[in-house]
Amino acid sequence: MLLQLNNIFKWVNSGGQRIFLLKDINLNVEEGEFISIMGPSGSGKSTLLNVIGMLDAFDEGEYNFLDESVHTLKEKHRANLYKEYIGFVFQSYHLLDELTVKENLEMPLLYKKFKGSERKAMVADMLDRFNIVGKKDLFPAQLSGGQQQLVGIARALISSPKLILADEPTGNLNSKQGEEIMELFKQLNNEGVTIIQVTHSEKNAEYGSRVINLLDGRMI
Amino acid sequence: MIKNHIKIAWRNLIKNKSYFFINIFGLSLALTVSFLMLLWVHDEQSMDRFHENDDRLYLVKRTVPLEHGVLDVYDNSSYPLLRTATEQLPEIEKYLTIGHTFEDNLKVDNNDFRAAGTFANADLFYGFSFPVIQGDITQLDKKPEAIAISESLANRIWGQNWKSIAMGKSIEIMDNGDFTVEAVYKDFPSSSSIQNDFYYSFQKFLNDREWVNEWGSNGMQGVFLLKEGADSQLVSSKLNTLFQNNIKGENKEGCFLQKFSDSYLYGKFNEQAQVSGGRIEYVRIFTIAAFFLLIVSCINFVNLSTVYATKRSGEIGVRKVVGARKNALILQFLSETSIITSIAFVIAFVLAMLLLPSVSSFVDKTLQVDFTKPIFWVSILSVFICTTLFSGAYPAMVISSFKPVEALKGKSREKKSATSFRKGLVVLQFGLTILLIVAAIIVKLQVNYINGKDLGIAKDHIVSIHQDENLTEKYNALRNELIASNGIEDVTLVGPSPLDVRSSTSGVVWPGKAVEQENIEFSLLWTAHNFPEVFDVSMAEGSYYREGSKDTMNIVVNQKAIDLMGIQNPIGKTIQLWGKQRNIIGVLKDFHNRSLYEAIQPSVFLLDPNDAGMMFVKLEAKKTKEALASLQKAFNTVLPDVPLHYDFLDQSYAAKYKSEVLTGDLTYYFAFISILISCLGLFGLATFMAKQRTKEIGIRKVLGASVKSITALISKDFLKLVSLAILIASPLAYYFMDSWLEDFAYKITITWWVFAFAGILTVAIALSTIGFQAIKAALADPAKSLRTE
Repeated sequence: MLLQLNNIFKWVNSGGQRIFLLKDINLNVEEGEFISIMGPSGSGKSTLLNVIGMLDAFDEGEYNFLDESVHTLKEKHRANLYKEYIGFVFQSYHLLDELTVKENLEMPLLYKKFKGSERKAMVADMLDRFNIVGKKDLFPAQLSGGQQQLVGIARALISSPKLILADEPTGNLNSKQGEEIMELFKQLNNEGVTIIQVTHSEKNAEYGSRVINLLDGRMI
Repeated sequence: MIKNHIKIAWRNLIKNKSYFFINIFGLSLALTVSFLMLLWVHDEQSMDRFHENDDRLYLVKRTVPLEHGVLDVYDNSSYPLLRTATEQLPEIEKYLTIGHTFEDNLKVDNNDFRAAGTFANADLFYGFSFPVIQGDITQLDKKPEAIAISESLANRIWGQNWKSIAMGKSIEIMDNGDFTVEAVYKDFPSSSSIQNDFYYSFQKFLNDREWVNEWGSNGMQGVFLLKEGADSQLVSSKLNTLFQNNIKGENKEGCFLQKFSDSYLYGKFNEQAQVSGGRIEYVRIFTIAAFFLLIVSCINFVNLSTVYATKRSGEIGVRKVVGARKNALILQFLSETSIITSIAFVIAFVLAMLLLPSVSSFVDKTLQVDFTKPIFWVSILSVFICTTLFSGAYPAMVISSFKPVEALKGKSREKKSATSFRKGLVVLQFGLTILLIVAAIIVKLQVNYINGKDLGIAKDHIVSIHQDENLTEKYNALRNELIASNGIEDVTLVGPSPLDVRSSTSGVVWPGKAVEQENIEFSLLWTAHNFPEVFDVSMAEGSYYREGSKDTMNIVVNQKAIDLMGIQNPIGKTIQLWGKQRNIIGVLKDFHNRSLYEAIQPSVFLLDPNDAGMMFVKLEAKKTKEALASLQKAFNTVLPDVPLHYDFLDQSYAAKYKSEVLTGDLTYYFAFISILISCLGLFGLATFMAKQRTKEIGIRKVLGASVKSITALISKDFLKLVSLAILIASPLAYYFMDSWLEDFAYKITITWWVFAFAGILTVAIALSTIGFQAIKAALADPAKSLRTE
């Protein structure tokens, strides 16, 4: 068992009324799964992904991640947990414009006390694996959307996380680029990485092993 | 890691040039000024502190009781007091005499040299750290005709080889006779408040003047070198007792000790003879002003960086998500700040070094940077750290505490508290600026007032010439020659200068004089009969002396003196001067006979041209050149042996207000730089605000808002802040400037329009700064601004 959500509720108070963003979510995720979260706009997909990624807090319920009960942890420990085990991939890539491809890949390692030589080796390994060695000194603005997302995924993978969370990873890409990215996810999943993605597309959802449908914050 | 930070900082800097330019430019400007100010303050504070015996040197101060228990403090003491105290008080090791420095002509082998000096005993060179290069300084105590001169004077007289020539040579000082060079001393460092080219034997001074042996005399300053471990407080009170036991009178004078090196900065005393200020006030004012400037530029930094941070919220979100801790982010932003401060420091340093010579001559000092002194590096480093922390800490905290999810969406709205914090800083910044503007205007007004005030006496087109025995002897011939010459109106003899009467006497007695009025000093002027005409002073009553060389039967006083003595119909009444009855024959209208810091003194005018001490020549207006030529010609004819040296009276008068003029000018510069920096900040802020509100402006335009209303919308917020600053700063400025003016006996009244002017000026400048950005934002195409959302 990688993670377990029990009776998770999340709400905001607006004008004296309680508006639920997540309602009674129960979810078990085993290592090696590839899950797609689907649902219309405003159904709570991204909120759920952020709760799983510990970027966002919830108001009620239990969340266990690798036998740690996240809901009892302090902010700082929670942050340490996701920094160690979770990699994030975003719809708009979120690469740092001021850094080259190589430096973008290196950045997460800087915060994790790797030695310079180790960092170099890991970055080189990643560039090699994703076949982007030739692009290493380019800035994000010089790459196509598909290439940028490739770098985004490489950056998420560089510190060997157990779980990849992807929020509409192909949302800004054309269909051909999107297909390539999904193929990559599939391949990573086969190598043993657990993936949870949010998507609008039925076609993309088919790459996964399980689909979770949300409507108004509830699993259906 | 650090390398990485620097790299990113540099790329950001290139990308956001205007933002960094504002920060670096403002900061380097403020730092340059602070750096120069720091040098000046350091120079002021190290004045007289270089003496090895610094902690044992004490200056004797004299207190003179006036009416109602008010004490006047003077810098002088008497020879018997110095000598007797040194003999009787075991705590005192030596006494050092410091005479009043005078400028005179020295004659060496028929060549004349203008030099300043006075008398001294050899202990002066023992107590102070003034090294002697050649000769035996103790000869000053042994031979009355001994003189010691400075290295530079020796150089001037005999050239570079003076060492083999100077000893034993004869020097004639015009008024004091012939002397023999017995020693040459090293020039005193510029950090010494005492500067003299020559010292002649104190014995000689003593032999020529009997009055020096009186306990109550005041012909010199005295410094005691105390023994190690002596209690200066105790010595001070013992000294006072000794002094009072030996002087005459009912309402007795007293004395106390002040540390010699403190006397330079702390020269002002209140009515209880407690230190109340002095030059230290200027040191404080300018330290604070420099500090203000630094704060103003740091505020720019804080405001711009926090606003700018929202632009970088995406970066912060990503960094947090991939594992950056808060501390790492704080460190990153602090190192970015320190890069900017480093650049600003380098620019400021280069700028300061380039400006140093002109600033030095501006403040009339030789400012130097001593790179070998640790204090220099410590100050630089601490200013650097403070500036970096002050500018960088708050933005770094704000930025690093963004929530990652929101930051990634670019939605990191600042908290309300952050916005009001920034607004508070803008108010503070403009408040300080307004304070400086008001101060600059008021100082300038006061200086103009002093320069333009009708003193009741003429000071323009008059030159003064030292009156020595030769001149006294040939005066009549010289005067006739001069009056007949082109461009010269009249000539008279007066002493001392009627614009700065420092001689006084308490020897005036009138019917009904009270005991507590015993020490009231009357200013004393020795004049020739034509003094009122030459100086355009008119008679209030009676008439001035008739032409003559002396009149001991009659007396002329001023209105102030009559008021003080309370004599009705004074003409023909008698008063006593130095125990002798005199008839009041005339009352002169009051004129300002000292600086405008002080009230007009009651004065006594004597007819005694031969002892006056100065000759005044009134030139015809607009004929200065011809008049000076005539003067030179007359001297060549009548007094061929006496070199002509003259000073313009108005210039000597202006010199008294040097520090006021300097303060005024400096405050102007400070105010200007402060406005500049504040507006830079405002410009940056307005730019970002306009950018932040792009969407709002787009929507408003779509809904029909006009360019004018949008411009007003953006400007309004800033104008509110500036107005608030005016409201807060005005009373503060009033309070500070009112207490500054308190030092002057004659001063301007602060009027409301000064504040109105400062306010309008600030608003106008702020408006023109914001207006550009506001109009630009209002003119933007709404389709474009809404599409980006």
